[in-house]
Amino acid sequence: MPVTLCTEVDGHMYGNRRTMISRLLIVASCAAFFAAFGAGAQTPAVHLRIGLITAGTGVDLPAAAAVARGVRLGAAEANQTAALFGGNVDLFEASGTGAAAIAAAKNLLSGSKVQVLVAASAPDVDAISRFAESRRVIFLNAASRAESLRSACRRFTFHIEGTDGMYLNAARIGLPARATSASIIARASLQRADSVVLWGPTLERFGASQINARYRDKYHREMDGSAWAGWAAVKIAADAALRAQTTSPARLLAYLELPSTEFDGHKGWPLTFRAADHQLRQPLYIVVTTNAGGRRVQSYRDVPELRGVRDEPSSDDSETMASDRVLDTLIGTTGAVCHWRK
Amino acid sequence: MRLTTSLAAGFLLAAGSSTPAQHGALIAVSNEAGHSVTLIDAATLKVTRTIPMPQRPRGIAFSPDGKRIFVALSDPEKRIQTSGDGIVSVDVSSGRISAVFPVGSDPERFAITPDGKRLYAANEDGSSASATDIPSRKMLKSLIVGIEPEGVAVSPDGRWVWVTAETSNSVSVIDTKANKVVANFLVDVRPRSVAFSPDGKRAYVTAEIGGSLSVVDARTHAVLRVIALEHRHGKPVGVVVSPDGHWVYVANGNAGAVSVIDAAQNAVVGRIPVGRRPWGIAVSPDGQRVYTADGLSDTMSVIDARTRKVIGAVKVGHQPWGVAVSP
Repeated sequence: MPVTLCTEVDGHMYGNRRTMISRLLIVASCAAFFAAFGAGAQTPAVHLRIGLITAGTGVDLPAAAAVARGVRLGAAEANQTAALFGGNVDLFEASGTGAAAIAAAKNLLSGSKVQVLVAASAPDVDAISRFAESRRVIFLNAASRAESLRSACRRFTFHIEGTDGMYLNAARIGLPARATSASIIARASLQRADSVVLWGPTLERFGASQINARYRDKYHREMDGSAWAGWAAVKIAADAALRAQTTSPARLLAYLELPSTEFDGHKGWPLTFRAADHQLRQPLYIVVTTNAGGRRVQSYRDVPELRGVRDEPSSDDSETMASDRVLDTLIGTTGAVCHWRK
Repeated sequence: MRLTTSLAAGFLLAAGSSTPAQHGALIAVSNEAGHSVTLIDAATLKVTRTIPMPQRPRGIAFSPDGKRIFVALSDPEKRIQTSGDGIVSVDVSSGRISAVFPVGSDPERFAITPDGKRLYAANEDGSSASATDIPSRKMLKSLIVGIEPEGVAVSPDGRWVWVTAETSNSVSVIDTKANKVVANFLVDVRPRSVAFSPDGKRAYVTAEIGGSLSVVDARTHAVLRVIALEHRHGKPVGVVVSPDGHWVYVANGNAGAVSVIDAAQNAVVGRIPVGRRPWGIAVSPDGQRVYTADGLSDTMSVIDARTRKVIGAVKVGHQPWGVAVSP
């Protein structure tokens, strides 16, 4: 159950300056929460089935392989958490590219009865997103940065990976002026941004060192942005199922769209999905390389900086929105304003 | 307002603190980067001793009789776990490490049962909690809890131990009679610490990403209320309850401030700016003083609980993490 929905300060529920619909959702969710747990029942079990589509052995690009590793670690951890409550998270895999990827997705749905799909290979994301929409199953995009995918406004698709625009914005916001020439920004984008990353293997704060260590222990390699996106996709799906007490794709969708739904991705910010395009609000990182006694040391600076939220609390809006608003400056516009049907 | 050690001591003396000894005879601060424990006289606020630690100290607590300080140690290289991980006890009178207790890898926070016989620790990298017999120095059991466990608290009657897990957003309840996890429940996002009310009826859990304090019915495990702190961006970590149960104090690391919550109303009634990144927090046995370990200021802030103002800041070691007060 979404305990954060019941957050109050001085008797005022969070999100109370959002839409009336949000207020009603919050009140209803609080009522449901207390109805479910007021008597002290243990958090009920959920049984979630996730499908991973890979391009296949020997075919996967490095980024796709990293997404798949992240998904597998995420599934193992989500299963561990679900087991605390008597439930489980099962991961099913199928491989294929192009038309074969769609066939793999169909098999996962019909054979393994998955409620959530993740694709590891960026070139297949658009087609699988389209397929997921037609079959009304949740699809988490952990691989593609394409703005066009956001503009497609597919209700059942949620985007964990950042957009090309987010990487460019992070470079503009976070890099020194001399480094923000068009050529450098373009190079950062084309080369999957060595200077701007979704995640770094030596991040430490907010549990980052712990998840980096768990990934390193399992795979004997470093966790990069693609691996994080795969891991976060599964964590978000499993956390949503546990909080919302459902594995129904339609109900998961409703929970993911709630303005008050937040996730922890070990980035120090509450992660939320933007209503306009289902893009995950999150910080990116500027990689800072320094020379320490002849040894190259990489450190990271998050963009936007976390302290910006604390220093500029909103005076006329909810605090959750203040956080979202700061992260929205990074997303910028994807050109998508999706008019979801109510 | 922050004062130096000498100024703080002078302030206290000038104020004529009538019963200084009741504020706890001794305060101990673990210095994570300094690899040391700082001992401070609670009456004078003067550092009486700095004890070097062989590893990186974090969790810290006094034994119920006040004669020993227990300190959780991990490897200095945060990404490596070694055989040096463990909990040690330091003899207060000599300042020397008197015993090493096996508690599994990467211990962070821990709690000691009121009878002083058992120690429960969160093993952060193992998704487990350990139960260790103090007299025999033997680990009794390793228990599966949520992923990335951290906060540990024992109920006042010693029957229950609660362990929070940051990645799983959960609290695991251990029955100390059976040494078994008997319940798990969800709380707000990224729970860091937990503390019981003195009567054992309520427990309070901080959530770092949720930016909140969950008030939990200790018997039914129902989350009764989620109280937002510091506009939900304070990154709350440490939590303590006053000995009379009236007040709950939360250290907000990102905000550099302590939130004061009225336990009867479940409402925030005060905000006290302290040093930078306060995580550890402790309250004196008489409830008149609250202490915070200010990780990025290298200080321990001293709060007058009645006026809710900082009355001193004691310079301690590098990156203070935890703080404890003798009974």
